[in-house]
Amino acid sequence: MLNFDNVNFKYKGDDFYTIRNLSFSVLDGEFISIIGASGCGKSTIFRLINSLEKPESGSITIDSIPIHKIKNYSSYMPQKDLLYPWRTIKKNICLPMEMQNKTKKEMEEQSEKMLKEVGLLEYKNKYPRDLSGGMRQRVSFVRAILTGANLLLLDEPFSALDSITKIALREWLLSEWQKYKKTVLFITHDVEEAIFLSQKVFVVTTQPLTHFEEYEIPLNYPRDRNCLNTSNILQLKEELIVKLRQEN
Amino acid sequence: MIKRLPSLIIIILILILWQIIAFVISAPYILPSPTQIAFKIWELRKTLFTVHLPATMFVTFTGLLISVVLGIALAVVMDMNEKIANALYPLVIASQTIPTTAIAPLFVLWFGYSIWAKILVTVLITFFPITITMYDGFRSVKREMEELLITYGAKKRDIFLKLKVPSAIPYFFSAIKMAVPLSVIGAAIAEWLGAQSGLGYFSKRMMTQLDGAGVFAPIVLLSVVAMLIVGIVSILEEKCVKWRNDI
Repeated sequence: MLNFDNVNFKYKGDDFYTIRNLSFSVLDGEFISIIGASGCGKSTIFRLINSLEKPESGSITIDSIPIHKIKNYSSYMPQKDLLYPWRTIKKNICLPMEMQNKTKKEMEEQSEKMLKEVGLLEYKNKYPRDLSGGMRQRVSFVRAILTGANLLLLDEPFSALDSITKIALREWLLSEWQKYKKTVLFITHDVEEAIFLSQKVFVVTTQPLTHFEEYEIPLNYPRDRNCLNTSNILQLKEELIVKLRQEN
Repeated sequence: MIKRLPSLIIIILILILWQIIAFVISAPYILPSPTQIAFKIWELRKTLFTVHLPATMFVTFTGLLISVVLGIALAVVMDMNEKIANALYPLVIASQTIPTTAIAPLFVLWFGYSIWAKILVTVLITFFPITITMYDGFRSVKREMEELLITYGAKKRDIFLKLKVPSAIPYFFSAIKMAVPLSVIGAAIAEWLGAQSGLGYFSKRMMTQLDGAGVFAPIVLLSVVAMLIVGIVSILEEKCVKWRNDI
């Protein structure tokens, strides 16, 4: 379980807090989306979890252990795929395993297995430029999975894609989440995307970020995009949009 | 080929114009025509290609190699430590402000007509672009790519080897392409000022004999060789860094 306890944070040089006394928990296996206005501190949460930034006070723990005492607990998938253009697809997804000093054989087996599972095995020796945007995001997701971390931090991974690819990838992501049973924190600006994917939506309504407004999504898995057309979901979507507009 | 057609046409037009002007002036010791230069190269082919060209190329490549090794090493050190970078950067720039033609005789004074005086001039002229370009290459790494690697548990060494080195490869090729003509110029200047062989020395000797075509012949040869080397480096670059525009 991921736990934020009274976390305070401000960026160097800032005289205001981005995050103030923030506390929240995420249970193992949950899929939670975070939505909020630009600059409200959503990505800062990921930077704190990734240890790219350190909180001024408060604690961030995974299963009650402070994150600075554990390794390889989370994996990050950014908005841009950030695949290394000089590496083949296979070598790109091996990158996290190289950091863990896995053997060549292990890397070979795991990467090929994963590529096969996501239908990209035939592209293993291709370079990122040979793939479409959607395929590159799938490769980026595979790379995140191959870190072996239980917590996946997905930061607007589909925002740069066209709407059709986006729809396909959302459904694909849900099936992958159910298959690998990872805990997912998903940042998005898209209310519909948040509702479609998550069990809960955390809405950022304050600045500095002091708390989330939590919304349970009344939908079961597996889901398809028709689920979004039911009256209670449309009502929830409207409610969230109104909430975000107020914030803006 | 079609891409290079316009520049080829311009070159041909310049040569034709040059030929006409040289014919009108009709003073080959001042302005020899392109055909006279070509004849001169053919006439002197043995001494030019077997004695002076190899001598100049030896200085060029040795100087270039030393500059590449030193330049990359210094760029790595500067990238690893900001304080060192701040201390060395002005010195590297200062080295470039020294006029080569002014300092080259000093090297001759120190090292005589030995090869080292000439190599030192070549190093001096090429060291700066290689160091600065490689340093920029290491620093061109996208912050988000570096951070992603950090989230995987990468250490400084991993970041350097797996991210900075590959990112700097296109810069390496740019540095070489920039340094090749400069090293040829450096070698020729050094030979001009004091040498016993080499195309620069040969050109100077021809000047004392008022042989215009003889002065031009090694210059043409130097240009052609520099262009050939840059061409070869460009082909290698195209093969090695097809991803150049994907970063």
